[in-house]
Amino acid sequence: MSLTEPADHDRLLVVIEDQALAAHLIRHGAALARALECSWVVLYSAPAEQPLAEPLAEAVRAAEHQGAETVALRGPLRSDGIREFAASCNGQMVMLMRGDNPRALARRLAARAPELTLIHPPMGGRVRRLLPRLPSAHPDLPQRFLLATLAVLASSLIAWPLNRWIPTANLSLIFLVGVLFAAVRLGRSAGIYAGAISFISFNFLFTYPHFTLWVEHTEDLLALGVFLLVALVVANLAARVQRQLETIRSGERRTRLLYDFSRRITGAVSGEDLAHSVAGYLAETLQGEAVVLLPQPLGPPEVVAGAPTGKETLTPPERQVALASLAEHRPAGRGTDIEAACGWYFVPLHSGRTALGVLGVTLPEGLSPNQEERRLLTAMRDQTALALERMHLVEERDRAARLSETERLRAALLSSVSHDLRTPLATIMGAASSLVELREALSPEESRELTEQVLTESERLNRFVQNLLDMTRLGHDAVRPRFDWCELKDIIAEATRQLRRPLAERELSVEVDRSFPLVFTDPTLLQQVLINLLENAARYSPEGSPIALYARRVVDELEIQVCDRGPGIDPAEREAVFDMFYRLRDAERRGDRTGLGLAICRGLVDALGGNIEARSREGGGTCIRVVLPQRRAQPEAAEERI
Amino acid sequence: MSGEHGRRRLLVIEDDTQLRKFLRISLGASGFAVDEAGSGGEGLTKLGSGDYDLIILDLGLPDVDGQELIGAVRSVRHTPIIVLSARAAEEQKVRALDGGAADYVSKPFGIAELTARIRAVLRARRENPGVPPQLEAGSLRLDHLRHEVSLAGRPLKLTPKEFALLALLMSHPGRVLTHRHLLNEVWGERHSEDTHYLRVYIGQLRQKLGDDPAAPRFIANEPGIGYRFVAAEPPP
Repeated sequence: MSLTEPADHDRLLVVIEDQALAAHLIRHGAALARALECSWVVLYSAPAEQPLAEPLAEAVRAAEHQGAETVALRGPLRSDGIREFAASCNGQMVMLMRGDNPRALARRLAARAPELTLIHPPMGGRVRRLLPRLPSAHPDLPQRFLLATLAVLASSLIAWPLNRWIPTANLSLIFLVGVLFAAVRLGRSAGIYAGAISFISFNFLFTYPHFTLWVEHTEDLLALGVFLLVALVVANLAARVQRQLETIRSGERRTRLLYDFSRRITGAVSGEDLAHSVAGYLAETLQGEAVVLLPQPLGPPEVVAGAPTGKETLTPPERQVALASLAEHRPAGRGTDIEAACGWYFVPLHSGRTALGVLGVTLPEGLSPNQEERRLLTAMRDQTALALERMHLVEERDRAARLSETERLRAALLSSVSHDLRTPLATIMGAASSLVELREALSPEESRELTEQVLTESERLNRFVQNLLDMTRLGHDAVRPRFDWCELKDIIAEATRQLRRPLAERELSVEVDRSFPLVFTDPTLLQQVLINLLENAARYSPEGSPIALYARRVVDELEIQVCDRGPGIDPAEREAVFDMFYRLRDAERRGDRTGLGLAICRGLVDALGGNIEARSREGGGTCIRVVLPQRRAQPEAAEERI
Repeated sequence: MSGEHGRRRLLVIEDDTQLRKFLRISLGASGFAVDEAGSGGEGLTKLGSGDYDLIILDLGLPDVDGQELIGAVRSVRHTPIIVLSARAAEEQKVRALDGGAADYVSKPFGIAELTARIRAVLRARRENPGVPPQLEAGSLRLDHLRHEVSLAGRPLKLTPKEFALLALLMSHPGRVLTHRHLLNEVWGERHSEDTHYLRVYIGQLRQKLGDDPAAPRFIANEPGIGYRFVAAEPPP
């Protein structure tokens, strides 16, 4: 135990007796050693074959961090041992906490080692209870003794009339009930006090000669002796049971709070949600204020939750302390070796090397957290870090899934689009190359048909490109309808004109109700819807089969139906045909073209504020029904004024 | 031109009306008798009732998987199949070729390309399926019996594998042969995935033949699919 420090220097010996106060002592020791420019040694007791309790270990680390030598003694700290150690290392000053108890180490040391200068730091780190005190079973001290006296008085009053019937020795049982009551309800000292005055009362009132403390009969003396003994044992036992009960109760309360907390954080769906739960729980448990800082997408962590008011925040210097704790991977602020003057106590949240956030608490009266509170904070920290990590993993997984789904759809869209673009292109290129290369072999009729094909397919390509554009615009919500009064028949006529080639061999019947000459809509969008519906009908029904378009007014709505005699749509798929992703997946599965037409129709009809649905047609086939809201009033022709 | 083919009968299985119509007109004008089917099912029905010299099959049919259709046709007939497919679908084409299709044409295509493929496939059918003792392509001559190759009259020294590879390609002029097919035939099935063999040997062959890969006179590369011996068009 010889230390290698020059002997002409004073040394400060810091003795840690109570590990709960270790941090407090280390802080003062470090400050004093700095002020005196002397070296310092920390002496503490380490139980054999057991790891150090965390607050002690942390304090020892902090001391080493601040240049102290640390020495662990096996077994309990005794004044002789300390004196011997001080002599061996030339320690002149010993700092330790002053205890109230006359048997405290400080008093014994003062008595036994007058050559040492004893320094007692202020009791800043008064040990507080971790949890708000349960409504205490014990009233104040004078009151307790008063109540104990009353209990004995009551026992005497009950015993007095019974004295006539019950043998004196048995009356002591009634006094024992009083002692039991005092011990259980008023604590050990009150119990012992009650035992003592019961002994006196019993002696005074019931043993012969009465109303004296004199005992004449030997058996009475024996009974009194046994009574006193039993009363003391009962008082002790009862008080101990009561204490255990209280410990269990406070443990149970802590467990319940922790359980509540776990449940709340597992239910949290976002980091912020979690932060609110954690802050709320900490504030409630520690009866102070709590904040939670979480990293922001851009920049350092910020306060995202505070409790109990929700408005708790940090000043910029306080925030710096929080960030320091995150950077240093250890607690910072009040009562630590980083910015101990700060009002907040911060605990960093880490997962491996990833910074997840910071917990901050302030305690009532500006105290620093004691051992039990630190343990609680450590538990909180671990649970919160786990929950945050879980949340991050879930987010990560979802993002990856979304990405891969997006990738897959993009690939499907690309392959479908390329198919849709290539098919008309194949005809155009083939027909054009035939016109060039087979010039002489083609009859005039065949040449005309091929030329016609080039045109038809160019138009188809153009429509498809238009659809692609619409799809992109719908995807970005960039479709802004421009409503106007227009003639429905004109819109239908333009749509069929654009489709005259693909519909050339079809019988197309158009029935428009005469009851409304004008419709209020965006003519371009509606025309695009009709083109898609008609082309779709042509594509999915046998060649040469008729196609019908009906339009009529139903109350305040415009109803348009495009009907074919195709194979119809399976009822289970009637909704799905309008879903772009469904169509893409379907197309991917079959290696077929996209058939995005209906999905685009839905997007356009939505933009027009209407509805679109697929229905089966009587007699076979499909009707696609579009319903658009209409204004009740028709515009009046501008009155002519002369 | 039509007389030369003696009105060979083609079946076009294609779901797109316009493309089908163009094929009917153009192939008809090129001297073929063209029959059409709008779906895989209809195609199989027509195959059952008629006798065709060649099938043109779109791999993207809505009702039947193109690959399955090739299998179905192959199991009953030897009618050669030319598949139409998108350019990007290399894997699909290789599967079709390995599954028994004679050749493929990528969409979009010119009519000349399609008729050239049709003729190459039909010619191979018409000629003696046995390996002819002598193969000729322009100034390139290959003699199976004497195991000799000469270019413009000058003899070339080829290794046995180079010779086998060249003989295989030359005996299918104008037709694509997949990597797997070439590897199976020349190196055996154990090496059917070792495409690097092909790259090395084709490279050596091209060097000896003085062939430029960018403008091949003899061996054309079909990226991701295989190699094709460039068929000198027979004089019209």
